[in-house]
Amino acid sequence: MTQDWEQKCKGLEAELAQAKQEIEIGSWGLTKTNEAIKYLYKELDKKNKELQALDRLKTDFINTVSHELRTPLTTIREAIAQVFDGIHGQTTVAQRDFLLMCLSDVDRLRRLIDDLLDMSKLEAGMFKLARQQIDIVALARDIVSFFYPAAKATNIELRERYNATEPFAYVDRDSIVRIFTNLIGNALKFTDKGYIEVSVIDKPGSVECAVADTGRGIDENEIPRLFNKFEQFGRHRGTKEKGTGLGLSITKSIIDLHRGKIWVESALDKGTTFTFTLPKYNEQQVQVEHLRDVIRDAIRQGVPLSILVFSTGDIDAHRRRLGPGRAAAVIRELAQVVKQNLRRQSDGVIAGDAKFLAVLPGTDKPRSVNVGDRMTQCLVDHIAKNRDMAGVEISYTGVSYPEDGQTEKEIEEHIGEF
Amino acid sequence: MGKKILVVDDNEIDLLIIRRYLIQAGYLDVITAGDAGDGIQKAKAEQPDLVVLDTLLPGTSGFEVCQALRRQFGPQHPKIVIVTGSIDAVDAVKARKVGADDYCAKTSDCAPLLEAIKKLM
Repeated sequence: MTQDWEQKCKGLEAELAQAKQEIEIGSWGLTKTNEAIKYLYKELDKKNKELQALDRLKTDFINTVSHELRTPLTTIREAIAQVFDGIHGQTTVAQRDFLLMCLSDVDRLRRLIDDLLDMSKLEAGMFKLARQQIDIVALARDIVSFFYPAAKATNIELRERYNATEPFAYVDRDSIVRIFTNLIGNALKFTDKGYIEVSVIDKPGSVECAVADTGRGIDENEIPRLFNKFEQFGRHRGTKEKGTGLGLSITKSIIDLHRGKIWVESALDKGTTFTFTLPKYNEQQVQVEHLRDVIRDAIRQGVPLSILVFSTGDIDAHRRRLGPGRAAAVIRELAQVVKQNLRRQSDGVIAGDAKFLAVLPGTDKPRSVNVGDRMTQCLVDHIAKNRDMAGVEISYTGVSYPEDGQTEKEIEEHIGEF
Repeated sequence: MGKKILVVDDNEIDLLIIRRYLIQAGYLDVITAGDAGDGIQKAKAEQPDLVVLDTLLPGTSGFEVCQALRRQFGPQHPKIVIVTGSIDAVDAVKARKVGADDYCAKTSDCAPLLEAIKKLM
Protein backbone atom coordinates (compact mmCIF):
# COMPACT_ATOMS: atom_id res chain seq x y z
CA MET A 1 0.00 0.00 0.00
CA THR A 2 2.64 2.50 1.05
CA GLN A 3 4.67 1.63 -2.03
CA ASP A 4 1.71 2.64 -4.19
CA TRP A 5 1.44 5.90 -2.29
CA GLU A 6 5.16 6.51 -2.62
CA GLN A 7 4.93 5.92 -6.35
CA LYS A 8 2.00 8.28 -6.59
CA CYS A 9 3.81 10.94 -4.58
CA LYS A 10 6.94 10.69 -6.69
CA GLY A 11 4.77 10.92 -9.83
CA LEU A 12 2.97 13.98 -8.49
CA GLU A 13 6.23 15.58 -7.42
CA ALA A 14 7.61 15.09 -10.91
CA GLU A 15 4.43 16.56 -12.41
CA LEU A 16 4.63 19.50 -10.04
CA ALA A 17 8.26 20.14 -10.92
CA GLN A 18 7.37 20.02 -14.60
CA ALA A 19 4.43 22.38 -14.12
CA LYS A 20 6.65 24.76 -12.18
CA GLN A 21 9.15 24.75 -15.00
CA GLU A 22 6.44 25.38 -17.58
CA ILE A 23 5.21 28.33 -15.54
CA GLU A 24 8.73 29.65 -15.15
CA ILE A 25 9.35 29.45 -18.89
CA GLY A 26 5.95 30.98 -19.64
CA SER A 27 6.64 33.78 -17.21
CA TRP A 28 10.04 34.39 -18.78
CA GLY A 29 8.35 34.55 -22.19
CA LEU A 30 5.88 37.15 -20.98
CA THR A 31 8.59 39.25 -19.38
CA LYS A 32 10.59 39.21 -22.61
CA THR A 33 7.56 40.23 -24.60
CA ASN A 34 6.70 42.94 -22.13
CA GLU A 35 10.20 44.41 -22.31
CA ALA A 36 10.15 44.33 -26.08
CA ILE A 37 6.75 46.02 -26.25
CA LYS A 38 7.84 48.79 -23.90
CA TYR A 39 10.91 49.37 -26.03
CA LEU A 40 8.96 49.42 -29.27
CA TYR A 41 6.48 51.84 -27.73
CA LYS A 42 9.30 54.22 -26.88
CA GLU A 43 10.64 53.95 -30.43
CA LEU A 44 7.19 54.68 -31.82
CA ASP A 45 6.90 57.73 -29.62
CA LYS A 46 10.27 58.98 -30.85
CA LYS A 47 9.30 58.48 -34.48
CA ASN A 48 6.04 60.29 -33.88
CA LYS A 49 7.87 63.28 -32.47
CA GLU A 50 10.22 63.28 -35.46
CA LEU A 51 7.26 63.26 -37.83
CA GLN A 52 5.64 66.14 -36.00
CA ALA A 53 8.88 68.09 -36.17
CA LEU A 54 9.11 67.44 -39.90
CA ASP A 55 5.57 68.62 -40.32
CA ARG A 56 6.36 71.85 -38.53
CA LEU A 57 9.41 72.24 -40.77
CA LYS A 58 7.15 71.85 -43.77
CA THR A 59 4.85 74.62 -42.58
CA ASP A 60 7.77 76.87 -41.70
CA PHE A 61 9.35 76.18 -45.08
CA ILE A 62 6.25 77.09 -46.99
CA ASN A 63 5.79 80.30 -44.99
CA THR A 64 9.46 81.25 -45.27
CA VAL A 65 9.63 80.63 -49.01
CA SER A 66 6.46 82.62 -49.41
CA HIS A 67 8.01 85.63 -47.75
CA GLU A 68 11.54 85.26 -49.11
CA LEU A 69 10.48 84.91 -52.73
CA ARG A 70 7.86 87.63 -52.67
CA THR A 71 9.94 90.35 -51.03
CA PRO A 72 12.57 90.80 -53.77
CA LEU A 73 9.85 90.64 -56.41
CA THR A 74 8.00 93.51 -54.78
CA THR A 75 11.19 95.58 -54.81
CA ILE A 76 11.92 94.75 -58.44
CA ARG A 77 8.41 95.59 -59.52
CA GLU A 78 8.34 98.86 -57.68
CA ALA A 79 11.71 99.94 -59.06
CA ILE A 80 10.77 99.15 -62.66
CA ALA A 81 7.35 100.78 -62.29
CA GLN A 82 8.96 104.00 -61.05
CA VAL A 83 11.40 104.21 -63.95
CA PHE A 84 8.59 103.36 -66.35
CA ASP A 85 6.43 106.13 -64.94
CA GLY A 86 9.18 108.65 -65.63
CA ILE A 87 9.80 109.45 -61.96
CA HIS A 88 13.55 109.13 -62.47
CA GLY A 89 13.82 110.99 -65.72
CA GLN A 90 12.40 110.77 -69.19
CA THR A 91 12.34 107.46 -70.94
CA THR A 92 12.33 106.63 -74.61
CA VAL A 93 9.59 104.59 -76.23
CA ALA A 94 12.00 101.71 -76.74
CA GLN A 95 12.99 101.85 -73.08
CA ARG A 96 9.38 101.79 -71.97
CA ASP A 97 8.69 98.79 -74.22
CA PHE A 98 11.43 96.85 -72.51
CA LEU A 99 10.38 97.96 -69.06
CA LEU A 100 6.84 96.82 -69.83
CA MET A 101 8.18 93.41 -70.77
CA CYS A 102 9.94 93.29 -67.42
CA LEU A 103 6.78 94.28 -65.53
CA SER A 104 4.73 91.69 -67.32
CA ASP A 105 7.15 88.90 -66.45
CA VAL A 106 7.57 90.03 -62.87
CA ASP A 107 3.80 89.81 -62.53
CA ARG A 108 3.87 86.40 -64.11
CA LEU A 109 6.56 85.26 -61.68
CA ARG A 110 4.52 86.57 -58.78
CA ARG A 111 1.45 84.64 -59.93
CA LEU A 112 3.55 81.50 -60.37
CA ILE A 113 4.90 81.78 -56.83
CA ASP A 114 1.42 82.36 -55.44
CA ASP A 115 0.07 79.36 -57.30
CA LEU A 116 2.99 77.12 -56.31
CA LEU A 117 2.56 78.04 -52.68
CA ASP A 118 -1.18 77.43 -52.80
CA MET A 119 -0.54 74.07 -54.46
CA SER A 120 1.93 73.17 -51.69
CA LYS A 121 -0.55 74.13 -49.02
CA LEU A 122 -3.31 72.14 -50.69
CA GLU A 123 -1.09 69.08 -50.94
CA ALA A 124 0.16 69.40 -47.39
CA GLY A 125 -3.39 69.64 -46.17
CA MET A 126 -2.65 73.09 -44.83
CA PHE A 127 -4.98 75.05 -47.07
CA LYS A 128 -7.41 76.65 -44.67
CA LEU A 129 -11.00 77.15 -45.71
CA ALA A 130 -12.99 79.86 -43.97
CA ARG A 131 -16.47 78.67 -44.84
CA GLN A 132 -19.73 80.56 -44.48
CA GLN A 133 -23.12 80.57 -46.14
CA ILE A 134 -22.49 82.71 -49.25
CA ASP A 135 -24.93 83.91 -51.90
CA ILE A 136 -23.29 82.45 -54.99
CA VAL A 137 -25.41 84.45 -57.42
CA ALA A 138 -24.34 87.73 -55.83
CA LEU A 139 -20.73 86.57 -55.86
CA ALA A 140 -20.88 85.59 -59.53
CA ARG A 141 -22.45 88.94 -60.46
CA ASP A 142 -19.60 90.80 -58.77
CA ILE A 143 -16.94 88.85 -60.59
CA VAL A 144 -18.58 89.09 -64.00
CA SER A 145 -18.88 92.86 -63.68
CA PHE A 146 -15.13 92.99 -63.08
CA PHE A 147 -14.57 91.31 -66.48
CA TYR A 148 -16.81 93.67 -68.52
CA PRO A 149 -13.99 96.02 -69.63
CA ALA A 150 -11.79 93.14 -70.80
CA ALA A 151 -14.67 91.48 -72.64
CA LYS A 152 -15.67 94.72 -74.30
CA ALA A 153 -12.07 95.31 -75.46
CA THR A 154 -12.05 92.00 -77.28
CA ASN A 155 -15.65 92.20 -78.52
CA ILE A 156 -16.85 89.17 -76.62
CA GLU A 157 -20.36 89.17 -75.20
CA LEU A 158 -20.68 88.39 -71.49
CA ARG A 159 -23.92 86.63 -70.65
CA GLU A 160 -25.29 85.82 -67.23
CA ARG A 161 -27.95 83.24 -66.38
CA TYR A 162 -29.02 83.00 -62.76
CA ASN A 163 -31.80 80.61 -61.88
CA ALA A 164 -31.54 79.98 -58.18
CA THR A 165 -34.16 80.65 -55.54
CA GLU A 166 -31.84 79.36 -52.83
CA PRO A 167 -28.42 80.41 -54.00
CA PHE A 168 -26.62 79.97 -50.67
CA ALA A 169 -23.81 77.44 -50.37
CA TYR A 170 -21.38 76.78 -47.52
CA VAL A 171 -18.08 77.89 -49.05
CA ASP A 172 -14.86 79.81 -48.59
CA ARG A 173 -15.51 83.12 -50.28
CA ASP A 174 -12.00 83.87 -51.54
CA SER A 175 -11.67 80.39 -53.01
CA ILE A 176 -14.86 80.64 -55.02
CA VAL A 177 -13.94 84.13 -56.23
CA ARG A 178 -10.66 82.67 -57.37
CA ILE A 179 -12.34 79.79 -59.19
CA PHE A 180 -14.76 81.99 -61.10
CA THR A 181 -11.95 84.42 -61.92
CA ASN A 182 -9.77 81.58 -63.16
CA LEU A 183 -12.47 80.04 -65.35
CA ILE A 184 -13.74 83.30 -66.82
CA GLY A 185 -10.17 84.49 -67.41
CA ASN A 186 -9.39 81.25 -69.25
CA ALA A 187 -12.56 81.56 -71.30
CA LEU A 188 -11.54 85.06 -72.39
CA LYS A 189 -8.07 83.83 -73.26
CA PHE A 190 -9.29 81.08 -75.54
CA THR A 191 -12.33 82.75 -77.13
CA ASP A 192 -11.86 84.93 -80.21
CA LYS A 193 -15.50 85.66 -80.96
CA GLY A 194 -18.96 84.94 -79.69
CA TYR A 195 -19.85 84.92 -76.01
CA ILE A 196 -19.05 83.68 -72.56
CA GLU A 197 -21.95 82.66 -70.36
CA VAL A 198 -21.71 82.46 -66.56
CA SER A 199 -24.59 80.59 -64.92
CA VAL A 200 -25.64 79.65 -61.42
CA ILE A 201 -28.57 77.28 -60.97
CA ASP A 202 -30.32 75.53 -58.13
CA LYS A 203 -30.01 71.80 -57.72
CA PRO A 204 -31.27 69.67 -54.85
CA GLY A 205 -28.55 69.85 -52.23
CA SER A 206 -26.14 71.89 -54.31
CA VAL A 207 -25.58 75.00 -56.37
CA GLU A 208 -24.40 74.29 -59.91
CA CYS A 209 -22.17 76.92 -61.54
CA ALA A 210 -20.91 76.95 -65.10
CA VAL A 211 -18.69 79.02 -67.37
CA ALA A 212 -19.40 78.30 -71.03
CA ASP A 213 -17.66 79.83 -74.04
CA THR A 214 -17.75 79.67 -77.83
CA GLY A 215 -13.98 79.53 -78.04
CA ARG A 216 -11.39 77.21 -79.49
CA GLY A 217 -12.37 74.23 -77.47
CA ILE A 218 -10.18 71.48 -76.10
CA ASP A 219 -9.04 68.35 -77.91
CA GLU A 220 -10.89 65.40 -76.37
CA ASN A 221 -7.57 63.58 -75.94
CA GLU A 222 -6.35 66.34 -73.69
CA ILE A 223 -9.46 66.43 -71.49
CA PRO A 224 -8.38 63.65 -69.07
CA ARG A 225 -5.16 65.52 -68.29
CA LEU A 226 -6.80 68.89 -67.96
CA PHE A 227 -6.70 69.10 -64.18
CA ASN A 228 -3.12 67.87 -63.85
CA LYS A 229 -0.42 70.17 -62.60
CA PHE A 230 1.63 72.21 -65.05
CA GLU A 231 -0.34 71.13 -68.11
CA GLN A 232 -0.70 73.96 -70.59
CA PHE A 233 -2.73 73.28 -73.61
CA GLY A 234 -1.54 73.88 -77.15
CA ARG A 235 -2.86 76.80 -79.06
CA HIS A 236 -0.57 79.44 -77.66
CA ARG A 237 -1.35 81.34 -80.81
CA GLY A 238 -1.57 84.85 -79.49
CA THR A 239 -2.52 84.16 -75.91
CA LYS A 240 -2.46 87.53 -74.24
CA GLU A 241 -1.10 86.28 -70.96
CA LYS A 242 0.78 83.07 -70.18
CA GLY A 243 -0.76 81.02 -67.42
CA THR A 244 1.03 79.13 -64.67
CA GLY A 245 -0.31 75.71 -65.60
CA LEU A 246 -1.56 75.30 -62.05
CA GLY A 247 -4.85 77.18 -62.21
CA LEU A 248 -7.11 74.23 -63.01
CA SER A 249 -5.27 71.89 -60.68
CA ILE A 250 -5.73 74.31 -57.80
CA THR A 251 -9.35 74.86 -58.80
CA LYS A 252 -10.04 71.14 -58.69
CA SER A 253 -8.29 70.73 -55.33
CA ILE A 254 -10.35 73.53 -53.85
CA ILE A 255 -13.61 72.05 -55.18
CA ASP A 256 -12.58 68.68 -53.72
CA LEU A 257 -11.94 70.32 -50.35
CA HIS A 258 -15.47 71.70 -50.50
CA ARG A 259 -16.70 68.18 -51.37
CA GLY A 260 -18.07 69.44 -54.67
CA LYS A 261 -17.50 68.23 -58.23
CA ILE A 262 -16.03 69.82 -61.35
CA TRP A 263 -16.09 68.61 -64.94
CA VAL A 264 -15.65 69.92 -68.48
CA GLU A 265 -17.41 69.45 -71.79
CA SER A 266 -15.58 70.54 -74.90
CA ALA A 267 -14.57 69.73 -78.47
CA LEU A 268 -12.14 71.45 -80.83
CA ASP A 269 -13.63 74.68 -82.23
CA LYS A 270 -16.92 73.88 -80.56
CA GLY A 271 -16.43 75.86 -77.35
CA THR A 272 -15.92 74.77 -73.78
CA THR A 273 -18.11 74.51 -70.70
CA PHE A 274 -16.69 74.09 -67.20
CA THR A 275 -19.27 73.09 -64.61
CA PHE A 276 -18.79 72.80 -60.87
CA THR A 277 -21.07 72.12 -57.94
CA LEU A 278 -20.96 73.53 -54.44
CA PRO A 279 -22.83 71.71 -51.67
CA LYS A 280 -25.68 73.39 -49.81
CA TYR A 281 -25.91 72.70 -46.11
CA ASN A 282 -28.51 73.44 -43.51
CA GLU A 283 -27.33 74.41 -40.04
CA GLN A 284 -26.97 70.87 -38.80
CA GLN A 285 -25.14 69.79 -41.94
CA VAL A 286 -22.81 72.75 -41.51
CA GLN A 287 -21.93 71.36 -38.09
CA VAL A 288 -21.33 67.91 -39.53
CA GLU A 289 -19.14 69.43 -42.24
CA HIS A 290 -17.21 71.31 -39.61
CA LEU A 291 -16.75 68.07 -37.70
CA ARG A 292 -15.42 66.38 -40.83
CA ASP A 293 -12.97 69.25 -41.32
CA VAL A 294 -11.77 68.92 -37.72
CA ILE A 295 -11.23 65.18 -38.23
CA ARG A 296 -9.42 65.77 -41.51
CA ASP A 297 -7.14 68.40 -39.98
CA ALA A 298 -6.28 66.22 -36.99
CA ILE A 299 -5.27 63.34 -39.23
CA ARG A 300 -3.31 65.52 -41.64
CA GLN A 301 -1.42 67.17 -38.79
CA GLY A 302 -1.00 63.98 -36.78
CA VAL A 303 -2.51 65.59 -33.67
CA PRO A 304 -4.79 63.60 -31.33
CA LEU A 305 -8.53 64.20 -31.46
CA SER A 306 -11.30 62.79 -29.31
CA ILE A 307 -15.02 62.84 -29.89
CA LEU A 308 -17.49 61.86 -27.19
CA VAL A 309 -20.84 60.59 -28.44
CA PHE A 310 -23.47 61.09 -25.73
CA SER A 311 -26.71 59.16 -25.82
CA THR A 312 -29.80 59.82 -23.76
CA GLY A 313 -31.03 56.26 -23.42
CA ASP A 314 -34.18 55.17 -25.24
CA ILE A 315 -34.66 58.11 -27.61
CA ASP A 316 -37.89 56.68 -29.05
CA ALA A 317 -39.40 56.46 -25.58
CA HIS A 318 -38.40 60.08 -24.92
CA ARG A 319 -39.98 61.15 -28.21
CA ARG A 320 -43.20 59.34 -27.37
CA ARG A 321 -43.28 60.83 -23.91
CA LEU A 322 -42.31 64.44 -24.74
CA GLY A 323 -43.21 64.71 -28.40
CA PRO A 324 -40.49 64.97 -31.07
CA GLY A 325 -40.14 68.76 -30.80
CA ARG A 326 -39.46 68.78 -27.07
CA ALA A 327 -37.23 65.72 -27.36
CA ALA A 328 -35.03 67.51 -29.92
CA ALA A 329 -34.97 70.59 -27.67
CA VAL A 330 -33.85 68.43 -24.73
CA ILE A 331 -30.93 67.15 -26.77
CA ARG A 332 -29.93 70.68 -27.69
CA GLU A 333 -30.25 71.77 -24.08
CA LEU A 334 -28.06 68.91 -22.84
CA ALA A 335 -25.51 69.71 -25.55
CA GLN A 336 -25.44 73.28 -24.22
CA VAL A 337 -24.80 72.01 -20.69
CA VAL A 338 -21.74 70.20 -22.00
CA LYS A 339 -20.63 73.27 -23.96
CA GLN A 340 -20.77 75.41 -20.84
CA ASN A 341 -18.70 72.94 -18.85
CA LEU A 342 -15.96 72.27 -21.38
CA ARG A 343 -12.78 74.05 -20.47
CA ARG A 344 -10.93 74.56 -23.74
CA GLN A 345 -11.84 77.23 -26.26
CA SER A 346 -11.31 74.84 -29.12
CA ASP A 347 -13.77 72.28 -27.70
CA GLY A 348 -17.19 72.26 -29.31
CA VAL A 349 -20.52 70.46 -29.23
CA ILE A 350 -22.86 69.30 -31.95
CA ALA A 351 -26.50 68.48 -31.27
CA GLY A 352 -27.82 65.73 -33.52
CA ASP A 353 -31.24 64.15 -33.88
CA ALA A 354 -30.80 61.38 -31.36
CA LYS A 355 -27.44 62.07 -29.74
CA PHE A 356 -25.02 64.90 -29.14
CA LEU A 357 -21.27 65.11 -29.53
CA ALA A 358 -18.43 66.81 -27.74
CA VAL A 359 -15.54 67.49 -30.11
CA LEU A 360 -12.19 67.80 -28.35
CA PRO A 361 -9.28 68.66 -30.66
CA GLY A 362 -5.88 68.03 -29.14
CA THR A 363 -7.29 65.74 -26.44
CA ASP A 364 -6.04 62.18 -26.37
CA LYS A 365 -8.11 59.15 -25.43
CA PRO A 366 -7.18 58.86 -21.74
CA ARG A 367 -7.93 62.50 -21.06
CA SER A 368 -11.14 62.29 -23.06
CA VAL A 369 -12.39 59.65 -20.63
CA ASN A 370 -11.86 62.11 -17.75
CA VAL A 371 -13.77 64.76 -19.68
CA GLY A 372 -16.53 62.28 -20.54
CA ASP A 373 -17.01 61.26 -16.92
CA ARG A 374 -17.01 64.86 -15.75
CA MET A 375 -19.58 65.85 -18.39
CA THR A 376 -21.75 62.87 -17.49
CA GLN A 377 -21.86 64.10 -13.92
CA CYS A 378 -22.80 67.64 -15.02
CA LEU A 379 -25.55 66.21 -17.20
CA VAL A 380 -26.89 63.95 -14.47
CA ASP A 381 -27.01 66.95 -12.12
CA HIS A 382 -28.86 68.99 -14.74
CA ILE A 383 -31.36 66.21 -15.41
CA ALA A 384 -32.07 65.88 -11.69
CA LYS A 385 -33.22 69.52 -11.64
CA ASN A 386 -35.60 69.12 -14.59
CA ARG A 387 -38.65 66.99 -14.03
CA ASP A 388 -39.52 66.49 -17.68
CA MET A 389 -36.05 65.02 -18.24
CA ALA A 390 -36.70 62.20 -15.80
CA GLY A 391 -35.98 58.93 -17.55
CA VAL A 392 -33.12 60.37 -19.58
CA GLU A 393 -30.09 58.18 -18.99
CA ILE A 394 -26.72 59.55 -19.99
CA SER A 395 -24.01 57.33 -21.40
CA TYR A 396 -21.20 58.05 -23.81
CA THR A 397 -18.73 56.35 -26.09
CA GLY A 398 -15.40 57.85 -27.00
CA VAL A 399 -13.95 57.86 -30.49
CA SER A 400 -10.34 58.96 -30.68
CA TYR A 401 -7.72 59.47 -33.33
CA PRO A 402 -5.40 57.61 -33.61
CA GLU A 403 -6.55 54.83 -31.24
CA ASP A 404 -9.95 54.11 -32.80
CA GLY A 405 -9.20 54.84 -36.42
CA GLN A 406 -6.46 56.08 -38.69
CA THR A 407 -8.55 57.44 -41.54
CA GLU A 408 -11.44 59.90 -41.79
CA LYS A 409 -13.67 57.04 -42.91
CA GLU A 410 -12.83 54.88 -39.89
CA ILE A 411 -13.40 57.70 -37.42
CA GLU A 412 -16.69 58.70 -39.05
CA GLU A 413 -17.85 55.07 -39.04
CA HIS A 414 -17.09 54.78 -35.33
CA ILE A 415 -19.10 57.90 -34.61
CA GLY A 416 -21.97 56.52 -36.64
CA GLU A 417 -25.33 58.18 -37.00
CA PHE A 418 -26.38 60.78 -34.51
CA MET B 1 36.25 41.34 -27.95
CA GLY B 2 37.65 38.66 -30.24
CA LYS B 3 34.34 36.87 -30.42
CA LYS B 4 32.84 35.53 -33.63
CA ILE B 5 29.17 36.13 -34.36
CA LEU B 6 27.08 34.49 -37.09
CA VAL B 7 23.90 36.24 -38.21
CA VAL B 8 21.27 34.31 -40.17
CA ASP B 9 18.52 36.43 -41.81
CA ASP B 10 16.97 36.31 -45.28
CA ASN B 11 16.37 40.09 -45.39
CA GLU B 12 19.48 41.71 -46.87
CA ILE B 13 18.80 45.10 -45.37
CA ASP B 14 18.30 43.67 -41.87
CA LEU B 15 21.54 41.73 -42.26
CA LEU B 16 23.41 44.91 -43.19
CA ILE B 17 21.92 46.82 -40.29
CA ILE B 18 22.66 44.16 -37.68
CA ARG B 19 26.17 43.70 -39.04
CA ARG B 20 26.85 47.44 -38.86
CA TYR B 21 25.63 47.74 -35.28
CA LEU B 22 27.61 44.68 -34.19
CA ILE B 23 30.82 46.03 -35.69
CA GLN B 24 30.17 49.46 -34.17
CA ALA B 25 29.72 47.76 -30.79
CA GLY B 26 33.15 46.19 -31.14
CA TYR B 27 32.27 42.71 -32.42
CA LEU B 28 34.50 42.88 -35.46
CA ASP B 29 34.23 39.28 -36.56
CA VAL B 30 30.74 39.04 -38.09
CA ILE B 31 29.69 36.34 -40.57
CA THR B 32 26.32 36.39 -42.32
CA ALA B 33 24.08 33.81 -43.98
CA GLY B 34 20.87 34.28 -45.97
CA ASP B 35 19.09 31.00 -45.30
CA ALA B 36 18.98 27.98 -42.98
CA GLY B 37 21.23 25.72 -45.02
CA ASP B 38 23.92 28.37 -45.48
CA GLY B 39 23.60 29.26 -41.79
CA ILE B 40 24.16 25.72 -40.52
CA GLN B 41 27.03 25.18 -42.95
CA LYS B 42 28.76 28.37 -41.85
CA ALA B 43 28.18 27.49 -38.19
CA LYS B 44 30.00 24.20 -38.73
CA ALA B 45 32.80 25.78 -40.74
CA GLU B 46 33.38 28.96 -38.69
CA GLN B 47 32.52 27.77 -35.16
CA PRO B 48 31.04 31.12 -34.00
CA ASP B 49 30.70 32.01 -30.32
CA LEU B 50 27.18 33.33 -30.83
CA VAL B 51 24.51 32.89 -33.47
CA VAL B 52 21.72 35.40 -34.18
CA LEU B 53 18.71 33.79 -35.88
CA ASP B 54 15.74 35.55 -37.48
CA THR B 55 12.45 33.75 -36.76
CA LEU B 56 11.37 33.79 -40.39
CA LEU B 57 13.66 32.00 -42.83
CA PRO B 58 12.84 30.67 -46.30
CA GLY B 59 11.20 27.25 -46.02
CA THR B 60 11.81 26.96 -42.30
CA SER B 61 12.08 28.98 -39.09
CA GLY B 62 14.71 30.27 -36.71
CA PHE B 63 13.37 27.79 -34.15
CA GLU B 64 14.11 24.80 -36.36
CA VAL B 65 17.61 26.09 -37.12
CA CYS B 66 18.15 26.57 -33.39
CA GLN B 67 17.11 22.98 -32.75
CA ALA B 68 19.48 21.77 -35.50
CA LEU B 69 22.35 23.80 -34.05
CA ARG B 70 21.69 22.43 -30.55
CA ARG B 71 21.61 18.89 -31.92
CA GLN B 72 24.92 19.57 -33.66
CA PHE B 73 26.75 21.50 -30.96
CA GLY B 74 25.09 20.75 -27.65
CA PRO B 75 23.24 22.99 -25.15
CA GLN B 76 26.01 25.35 -24.05
CA HIS B 77 27.88 26.61 -27.06
CA PRO B 78 27.42 28.54 -29.29
CA LYS B 79 25.08 31.01 -27.59
CA ILE B 80 21.94 31.48 -29.64
CA VAL B 81 19.71 34.58 -29.77
CA ILE B 82 16.49 34.49 -31.77
CA VAL B 83 15.27 37.85 -33.10
CA THR B 84 11.93 38.77 -34.58
CA GLY B 85 10.06 41.62 -36.24
CA SER B 86 6.87 40.53 -34.50
CA ILE B 87 7.32 39.96 -30.81
CA ASP B 88 5.12 37.22 -29.33
CA ALA B 89 4.96 35.62 -25.87
CA VAL B 90 4.20 32.19 -27.36
CA ASP B 91 7.29 32.45 -29.57
CA ALA B 92 9.36 33.48 -26.58
CA VAL B 93 8.44 30.24 -24.80
CA LYS B 94 9.14 28.31 -28.00
CA ALA B 95 12.58 29.92 -28.24
CA ARG B 96 13.45 28.81 -24.71
CA LYS B 97 12.19 25.32 -25.40
CA VAL B 98 14.30 24.82 -28.53
CA GLY B 99 17.37 25.81 -26.57
CA ALA B 100 17.86 29.49 -27.45
CA ASP B 101 19.56 31.62 -24.83
CA ASP B 102 17.48 34.71 -25.49
CA TYR B 103 14.71 36.13 -27.64
CA CYS B 104 14.27 39.78 -28.56
CA ALA B 105 12.67 42.23 -30.95
CA LYS B 106 14.28 43.65 -34.07
CA THR B 107 14.47 47.38 -33.68
CA SER B 108 15.95 50.08 -35.88
CA ASP B 109 18.87 50.63 -33.51
CA CYS B 110 19.43 46.96 -32.51
CA ALA B 111 19.64 48.01 -28.85
CA PRO B 112 17.74 45.00 -27.39
CA LEU B 113 19.89 42.62 -29.47
CA LEU B 114 23.14 44.26 -28.36
CA GLU B 115 21.97 44.11 -24.73
CA ALA B 116 21.19 40.42 -25.06
CA ILE B 117 24.57 39.70 -26.67
CA LYS B 118 26.43 41.67 -24.02
CA LYS B 119 24.79 39.58 -21.30
CA LEU B 120 25.74 36.33 -23.00
CA MET B 121 29.36 36.99 -23.96
